Amino acid sequence: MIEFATLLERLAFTPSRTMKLALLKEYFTMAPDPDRGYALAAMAGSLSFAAAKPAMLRALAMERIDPELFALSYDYVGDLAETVALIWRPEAGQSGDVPAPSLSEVVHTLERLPKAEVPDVIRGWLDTCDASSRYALLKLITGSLRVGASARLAKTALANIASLSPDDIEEVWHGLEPPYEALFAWIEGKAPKPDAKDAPVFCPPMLAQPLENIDLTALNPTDWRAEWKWDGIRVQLVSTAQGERVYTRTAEDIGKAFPDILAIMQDLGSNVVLDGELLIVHGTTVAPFADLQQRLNRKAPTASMLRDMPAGIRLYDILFEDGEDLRSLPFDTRRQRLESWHARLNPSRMILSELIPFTHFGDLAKLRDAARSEGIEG
Amino acid sequence: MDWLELKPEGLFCAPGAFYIDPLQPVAHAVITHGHSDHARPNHAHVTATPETLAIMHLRMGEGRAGHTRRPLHYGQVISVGDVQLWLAPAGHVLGSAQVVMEYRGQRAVVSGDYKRTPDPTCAPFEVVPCDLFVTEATFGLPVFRLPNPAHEIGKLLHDVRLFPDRTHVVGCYALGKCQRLIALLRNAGYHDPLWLHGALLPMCRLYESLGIPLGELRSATVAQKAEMRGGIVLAPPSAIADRWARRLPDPVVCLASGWMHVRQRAKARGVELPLVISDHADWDALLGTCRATGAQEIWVTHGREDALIYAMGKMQLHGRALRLIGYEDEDEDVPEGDPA
Repeated sequence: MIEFATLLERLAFTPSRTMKLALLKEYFTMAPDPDRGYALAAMAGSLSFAAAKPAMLRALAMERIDPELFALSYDYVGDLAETVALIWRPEAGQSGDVPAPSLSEVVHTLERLPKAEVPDVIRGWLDTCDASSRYALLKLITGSLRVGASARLAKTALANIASLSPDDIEEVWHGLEPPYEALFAWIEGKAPKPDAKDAPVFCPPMLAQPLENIDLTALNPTDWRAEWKWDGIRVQLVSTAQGERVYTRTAEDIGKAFPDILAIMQDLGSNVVLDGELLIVHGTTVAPFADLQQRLNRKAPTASMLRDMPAGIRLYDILFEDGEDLRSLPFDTRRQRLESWHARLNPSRMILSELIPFTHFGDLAKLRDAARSEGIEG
Repeated sequence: MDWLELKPEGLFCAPGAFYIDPLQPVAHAVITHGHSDHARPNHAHVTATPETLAIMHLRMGEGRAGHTRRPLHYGQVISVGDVQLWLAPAGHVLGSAQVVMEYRGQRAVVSGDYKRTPDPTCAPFEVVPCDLFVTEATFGLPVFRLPNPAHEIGKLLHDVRLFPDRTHVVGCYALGKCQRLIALLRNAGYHDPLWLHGALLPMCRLYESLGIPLGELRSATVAQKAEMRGGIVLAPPSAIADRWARRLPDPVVCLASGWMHVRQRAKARGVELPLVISDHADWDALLGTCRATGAQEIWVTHGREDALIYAMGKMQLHGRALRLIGYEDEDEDVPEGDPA
């Protein structure tokens, strides 16, 4: 717990990305399994407990401190968990005799702890922890732990350890579970790359790059294909025997917010990885981005949102089909595979992104200038 | 205790006709320590430890540090009027003293600022049993239970090792905190040259001349930028978030202060590495010291007195808030005393 708390504290005060990376790298190198895996889970937002409510923390603190002194202190500090962490006075003889719990001990205990025993266990932990660990612990058990590092940053730090790219981590990430021991073993060269098997994992897509400051005359138009960029968000649809996922281009799983899309994929029952644009579509009309934003802002949509703001997909590409990796094939071949897949299954609410024929790049510029009014980004 | 009074100029000992740490120029001032809110210029006569007099002289220049000066060593008793007066170590900064006064069989002790944590740069606080104890309450809340300074120094040195290409700039007050930090770093085995902001060097030289070794110190102001990379630079708190610090190679902003104990305070100062190191007594030390003096009456000069006086009441001690305006904690953004 102490190492994790120290990391949290340092991350909270460090604005620099480079330093955060160095701190994460150091922590992941030094901390043992499974502690570091649970720390990683905390950064990925998948470590959350609601074992204690603020009232319980306050009640615990009152066992050790006068209410008037507590009130004056809380008033000054302004944060309940921090006030309790700082004001807590370990009972004589406790501090130092018993080691502070490790992060994994805390996690494992909370997972199976009957509610009635929670206060006793937490009291015991508070007695053995230092102030900084008490703070981390109290934030963790009340489900309000904030780590000053995103999941992506943590994955980048892991990739740095093994001279990999963060996308290499993304490829296996969604097939793994906390405490990610197989991942760390791979990073440290002690085990092969974890096999995602049939898990619906994310495959880093090729991202759109602006064509600014590029000499178009040096490019041959016949080597290039043009499609519209729609005003939605780029997504990856993954469907395997083990389930369906909707990922953003940064590998965030947003499936829960789009059960309509998940249901369509489930009905298709096709083993496939698709690249496309997520949009709100009424008939053939694409709704403004603000509508999509409303759906993105909610963890789960209401029934009326599903009715009034139905999601749809413009398909750009196909990356896997029936377990076959298509990513090394030329684009035109993949496009044919995508078209035939689409024609065969005729999925509802998924249409192909139209290929725009052109002879000169100038044709595209004209089209783009004319398109701004049609809900097309350009 | 009616022979110690609160006047507009400050705390006044009537039978000895002297003030303790007065806020305005007076005929006779007894000064507890050299921080600028306690040691003010232009008193006619000043009684203080030789170290405090030297510090006042350095900061104020000839003439302003008292027209006449009476150096008083710790434990040396003198009579002033009808009062027996002596000074006892307060453990706050070099030369810091508690003012002990005896009159008609009663003893009062004015502690000035003090701490109980060992400090390699000054004599440790001495408990003087008394009837009235006058205490500070800078950290007079039970959330202020400050960590061991060696732990905080360990944090700094770990960071210096982890980021060898960056320069750690540590904000610290010129008198006391700066020299204590240096001594703590040396005790922790750090013997590289330390780079100092110009405002800090004269006081360090004075400490050295008074027998406190500080190792190799260099001026950060005249140093080449590249020389300081990977090193530790000490600067006044006002300089660390300033243009001055931005000229350092890739600075990591640190601040050594008891206030760093509370996250919001550290965040508000834009500190990347807060170091909880204070020259004031924390909550436990305040309560423990008040109890240890055996005093039945406790006066609180400045700080967060509400909680402390409340806690005194629970201990059956009579507490009184003096609310002396003008005493500040030196870690707050008080303008630096002129280091001359």
